[in-house]
Amino acid sequence: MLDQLKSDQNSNNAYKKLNSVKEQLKSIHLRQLFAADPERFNQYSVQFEQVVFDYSKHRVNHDAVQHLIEWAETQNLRSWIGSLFSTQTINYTEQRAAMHWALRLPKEDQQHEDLAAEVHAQLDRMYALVEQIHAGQRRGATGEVIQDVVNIGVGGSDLGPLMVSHALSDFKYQSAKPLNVHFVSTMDGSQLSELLHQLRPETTLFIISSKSFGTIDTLSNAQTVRLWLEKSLGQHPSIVKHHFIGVSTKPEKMTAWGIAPENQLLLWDWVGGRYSLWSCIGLPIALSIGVDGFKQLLAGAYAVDQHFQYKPLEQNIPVLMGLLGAWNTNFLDIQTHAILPYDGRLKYFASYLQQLEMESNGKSIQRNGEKVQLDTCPIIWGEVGPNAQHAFYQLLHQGTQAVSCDFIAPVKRYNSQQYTYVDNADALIEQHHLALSNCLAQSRLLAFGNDALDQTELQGLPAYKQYEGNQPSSTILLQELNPYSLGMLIALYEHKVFVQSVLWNINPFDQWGVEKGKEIANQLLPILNGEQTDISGLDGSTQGLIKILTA
Amino acid sequence: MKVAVLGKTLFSGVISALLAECGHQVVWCNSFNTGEPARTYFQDESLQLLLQKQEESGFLNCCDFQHLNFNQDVFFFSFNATEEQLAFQMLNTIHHACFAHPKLMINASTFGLHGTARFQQLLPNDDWVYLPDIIQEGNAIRSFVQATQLIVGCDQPDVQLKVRELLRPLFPRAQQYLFMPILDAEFTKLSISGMLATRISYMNDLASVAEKLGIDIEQVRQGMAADNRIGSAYLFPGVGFGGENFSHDIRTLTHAVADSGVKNQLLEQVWDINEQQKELLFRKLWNYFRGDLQGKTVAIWGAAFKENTPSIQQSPVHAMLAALWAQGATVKLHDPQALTNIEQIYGQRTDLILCEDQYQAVEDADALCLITAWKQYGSPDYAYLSKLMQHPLILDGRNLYDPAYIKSRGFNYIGVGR
Repeated sequence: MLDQLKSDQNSNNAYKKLNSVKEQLKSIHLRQLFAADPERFNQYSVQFEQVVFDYSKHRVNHDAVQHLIEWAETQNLRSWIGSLFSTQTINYTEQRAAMHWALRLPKEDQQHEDLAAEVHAQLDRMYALVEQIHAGQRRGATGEVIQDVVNIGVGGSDLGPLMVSHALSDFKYQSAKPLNVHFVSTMDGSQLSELLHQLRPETTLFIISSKSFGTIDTLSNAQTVRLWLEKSLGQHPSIVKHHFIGVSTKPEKMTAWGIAPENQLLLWDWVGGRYSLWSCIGLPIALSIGVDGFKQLLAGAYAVDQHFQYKPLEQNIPVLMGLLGAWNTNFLDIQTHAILPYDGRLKYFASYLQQLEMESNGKSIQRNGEKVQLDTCPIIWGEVGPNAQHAFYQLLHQGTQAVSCDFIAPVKRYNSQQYTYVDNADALIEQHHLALSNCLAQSRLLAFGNDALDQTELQGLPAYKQYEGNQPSSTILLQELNPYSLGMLIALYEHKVFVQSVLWNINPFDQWGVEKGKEIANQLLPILNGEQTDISGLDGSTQGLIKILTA
Repeated sequence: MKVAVLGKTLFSGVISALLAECGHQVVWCNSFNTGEPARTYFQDESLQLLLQKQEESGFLNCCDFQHLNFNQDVFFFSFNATEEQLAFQMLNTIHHACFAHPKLMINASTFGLHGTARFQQLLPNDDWVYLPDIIQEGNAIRSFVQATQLIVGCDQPDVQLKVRELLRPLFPRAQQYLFMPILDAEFTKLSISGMLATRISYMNDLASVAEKLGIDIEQVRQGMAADNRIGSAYLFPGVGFGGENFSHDIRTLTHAVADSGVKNQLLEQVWDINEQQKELLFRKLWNYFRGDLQGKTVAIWGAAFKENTPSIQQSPVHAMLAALWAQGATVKLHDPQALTNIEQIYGQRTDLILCEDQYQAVEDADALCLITAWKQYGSPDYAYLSKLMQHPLILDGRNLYDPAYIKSRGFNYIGVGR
């Protein structure tokens, strides 16, 4: 790959240095790195507020880290961070800024006063709605109290709110009347069909969450529930008024659909869908954890925004995460990265990161219009750790693929007297310790291989029972998983993605790769609906399949 | 006998007055903190009168707890469900006092199952009985003396004699007593409340069906009441039952059922239906105005949970106020006795106007909601009402009015289940 980098002299230098460190490190096992430096954990870990980032189990040494930081500097990371935290249109392919950070500005922020006011005007409207629902005073068309809220959205309008609501289930707000929040995303209606027959139209409120208010997946689901409501409640316009909330950048489209102006929550073009859970797209989150919880989530992310902007690169957690990821991908040739939370509440975190990282950095054209010279985003995958241990850990330990991992775990759990678990807290705390011990055991075994086993056991151990080790991993410990620390965690990954986009010189804020498919689907729909019969322009395979589907 | 009655409840007042009237020497101790008036005042006129008479005749004395003479034959404890702490403090003091045991100790407070046993643990050397509180607010004295059979929880047969002697002038015949173990009596007391609540919720449930089918629930109610297996009591559909003790009994019974591990949802449903019912008039209004109540003025007649009492505990008025305010409506409220209590809870607010005169409340109102069946609401001056109101809409939460007549006077009428 070295020869691909000829274009940029500085990068070339940094790259050369990294390449030579790589050659040095190639033959050194992680256990040797630890044996050589008893202080390795202290050297290669950073604590910031409620988060500890331990990267000592990566295959790096002092030189590697230094040269990685030099590389970031030659790529002007500092000034790029400045551009991110500005109104510059750094999403150049769509001529938009990328200001998700503005969504977590404190209300009284001095530096971006107008922006903060605009953001908080919408948040305050959302909070008022949430409080009305929690008080049991939001009513459907018949005057009955809303008890079920269904979020209809897809992509960023689904994954973020779903992931966070699930992760913070222990912080569920105790509303005046029982309140359930549901998520519906798939365009084939599978979630809806299962849900609708359990819900009562009279007490159900729908959130139509779509940045563009044109996403066919969402609108088709919305249309189905509208018919469902009208079937039992009649067709009066007050039905839509009392049962639908819209969240979008497009008030005129929401109005055209029938959503009353007072039920429209707005966001802005300068927020990417996958970065939007901090805006009113996060309504299901606020419904789950309450207004105060939502504010904590924002505060955690804001703290990381400050950390990212002002900490020196070598103490800067998102910078280190980005650099280590690039090191693994571009130098150690590790093409996949696994996310392994040891906390069942983070069940959807891997899916969420799949979108965040792969939709952002799954690109191959640089900002200068040229093809990239380095591999970009690796395959991101993962699963709740303890469950994954019974699924794919075999491959991690003894397969032929090199994989890097992020282990994520809360230090304390079941410790805040929450009504959902308080009756069984003692037994559950023991289960948490069990999960933690597994988390540590797995990252040890991955790093050290046989060395992590009892040495007396190794005598005469058959080859198929042996472990290579040397698989790098980070461990992220949260003091506890709460709204604040989760806000931090998500923002860390958001900025990690940005750091890598700077290293690879790509635009992480567009997604042209998902636009075309929607268009082609729109061309095919009339054929499947029987409105169009000429399929001669299509390829042979599609023609063959269509014949079966329309037979 | 020398009887000390401890407590501020209606029952404590009734029993003090009645026992004094029969010639017992009664000390009614109803002041437990310095600064509290030495004598509780009841709105019930006949009770008030009787108490006064007994004080004058010298058979009844009132005192505060500090000055209570423990040289008594009988102690009668009647506390509210929320006063359990206070009751225990007092028992503790009595426990440390020096007097000869056993005394007849009557627990007449509803502290749930095993409530009497918890008292007994503190004073184990006395004779404990449990006498359920069957006093109905607004009908206090009669509800006690007219009981056909008095349920008494009493675990020792020899103590029955003492109970009979205490109450002999009121209940002279042996068959007027139904003795049973204390725990059984406690459960009976709760079960009675549960049954009554179930009847009300059942009627309300039927009312919502009747409404959809175009049936007048009032006809149905009369028909059911005519069946002597059913009878007429507690069959009135309306905007829900309330009252501190009654509601507390239902909750206590529900929890007792749940804690026993028996899967039983009937009482939960009875409660839920009732909570729903408290908002019924609001939902009718909401439907009538298509969910747009912003800026509307709504008159409410009645805040007490039932007529003839100033008590607003668990009254439907609270759900109504919260719901109306949440929609930006202004409430003009009248109640002959309960306005002071309302003011204590809600204070001064611009969207609540308390009216001393019932007609003042309907001035410029977009609707009139009747929540409590006070007698004075029974025959309003319709012409005057119509003139005062902004919009002639009457929501009758107690089915007090004749729908046909009221409609003929030019009103829109909405009742419960009709």
